[in-house]
Amino acid sequence: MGISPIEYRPWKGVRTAQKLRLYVIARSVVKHKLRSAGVIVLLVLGFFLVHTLSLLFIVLLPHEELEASDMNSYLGSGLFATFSMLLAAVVTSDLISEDLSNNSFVLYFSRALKIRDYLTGKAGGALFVMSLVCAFPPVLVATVSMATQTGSDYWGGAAVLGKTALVGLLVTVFFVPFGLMVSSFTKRKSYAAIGTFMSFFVLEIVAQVFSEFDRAWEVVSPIESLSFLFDWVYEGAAPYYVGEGALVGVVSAFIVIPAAVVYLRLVRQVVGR
Amino acid sequence: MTGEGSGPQSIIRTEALSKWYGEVIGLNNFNLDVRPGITGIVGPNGSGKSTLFKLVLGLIRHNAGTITVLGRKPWGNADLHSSIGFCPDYESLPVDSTGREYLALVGRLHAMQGAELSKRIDEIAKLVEMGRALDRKTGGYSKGMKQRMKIAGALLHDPELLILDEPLSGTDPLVRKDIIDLIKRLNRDHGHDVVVSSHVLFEIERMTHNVVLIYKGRAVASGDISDIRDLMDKHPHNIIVEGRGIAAMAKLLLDRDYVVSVAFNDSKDSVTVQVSRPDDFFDGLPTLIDEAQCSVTKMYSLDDNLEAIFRYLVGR
Repeated sequence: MGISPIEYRPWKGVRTAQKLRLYVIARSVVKHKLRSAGVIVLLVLGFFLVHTLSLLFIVLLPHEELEASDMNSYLGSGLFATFSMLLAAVVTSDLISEDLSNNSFVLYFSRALKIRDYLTGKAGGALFVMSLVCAFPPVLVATVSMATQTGSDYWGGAAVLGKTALVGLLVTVFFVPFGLMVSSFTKRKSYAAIGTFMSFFVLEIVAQVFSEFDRAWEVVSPIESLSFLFDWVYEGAAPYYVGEGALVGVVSAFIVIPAAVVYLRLVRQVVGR
Repeated sequence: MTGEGSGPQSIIRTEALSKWYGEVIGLNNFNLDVRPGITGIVGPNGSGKSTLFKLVLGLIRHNAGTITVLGRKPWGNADLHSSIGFCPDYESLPVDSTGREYLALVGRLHAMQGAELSKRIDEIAKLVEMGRALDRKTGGYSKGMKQRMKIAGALLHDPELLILDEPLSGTDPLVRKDIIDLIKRLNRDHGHDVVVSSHVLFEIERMTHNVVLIYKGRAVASGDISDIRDLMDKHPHNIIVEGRGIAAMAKLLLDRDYVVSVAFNDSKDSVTVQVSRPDDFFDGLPTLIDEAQCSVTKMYSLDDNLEAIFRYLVGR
């Protein structure tokens, strides 16, 4: 098999547009994930186990209006956060580890792309997939609840709907940076998936052990911290034993620190040494 | 080609460029001025070729000196990559993707899209004769196919400058010839400037006469390959000759003006001949064998490996 001296015509098209490149990476992630049997199974399971039951209750049981407390008990039960955690572990596991394994970074960074663009694109794709279970279904449930309510206070319901969208967004964003960080530490996606899930699990255990002495330690648990966040958003206050500043600090730390670590790790590992 | 005389025509220009990784020096006081055309970068493994390419691509930051590529500084200048196509020396294809998916991703990263992109992918795949394998997963490609797919990825967006890091490594002779022809054609017929690396001088010589020899992070020689050959010829070459009746040949060799020394090895059937002009030695060998009435069973040059040539050039 040799190379034939066929006609070669230079490309005359445009070759720039930074935003499009982010979209290209995100789209590539989404396409890849939506072809993965594991992700599809989790998405379907997540939708049915976490959201369908609530949806059925809302449709079947008469209700006057969309209540914040109802949404809080539906989303804050722990099942939603646990499932989101599991999905994040699977979705983010190969995002960087596979590129490490294939040496594919050069594919990206020898193009007009920076590390932050690469990470934004990867995270964007993962966030979209996460949102299919974490953001869109709760908003759908809230919308259906408003559509089937017997009362006429739609403004109150709209406020709860907005809070639900915010909660969905927070949960979507919450786990992805951590998953990306773990994925950047290994070339094997199975290690990354297990590592992400086990890291959260260890934090759960730490929180449980230390909360025996001081309940404020519960905030260290990712699931509990999300639950407290839901309380704060829906009910207007976090539990008395959790300082709101500490809660914001912990939730921010869960997002910002892994994002910074994965960025620095890529700078160190791939380029710019 | 190095040092003096830069200008708007410089494709790549470095001045006292240095890059170190902790205590390891990647490039040391490296001066280079690459002009349009095909330029070969030749050096043994670990000489700094890949470091140079990373610096050219702006993938790593230099510690000292200056570097410009197509008149622009590469570090932190991602837009410059629109004008560069890079084919790395290591495997970098996503194994779960087909060749078409890989090229589509590469094209989209350069904002190519739609029917034009599809057409371009088919065109480039044909050019590197990967049309039939385009819809196969890259994980199942042979080494040669991967090389060609990587070259396709570098070419897809029609860059002004092509950087090919060891594009011939691991390919069979037929593919090697095809790739060499392709590289020459890309420059001659389509105006791409090409910087290509190899650790085999002979391979580069088949593509271009402009070469830069790199050794231990330094540009030890650069210019026309014939100048470099002349430079190499100033240093004696060691050639080992083995066979029957070699002693008679050794006696005759001592009378030749291109022979610096003749030394017997462990047996009387093996000599090491140090020559100042290897071409004269090889040209005159049949006459020598005839005159000495000997038979040569084995002959090899100790200087055939590039490492030895580089050691000459750095005066070791």
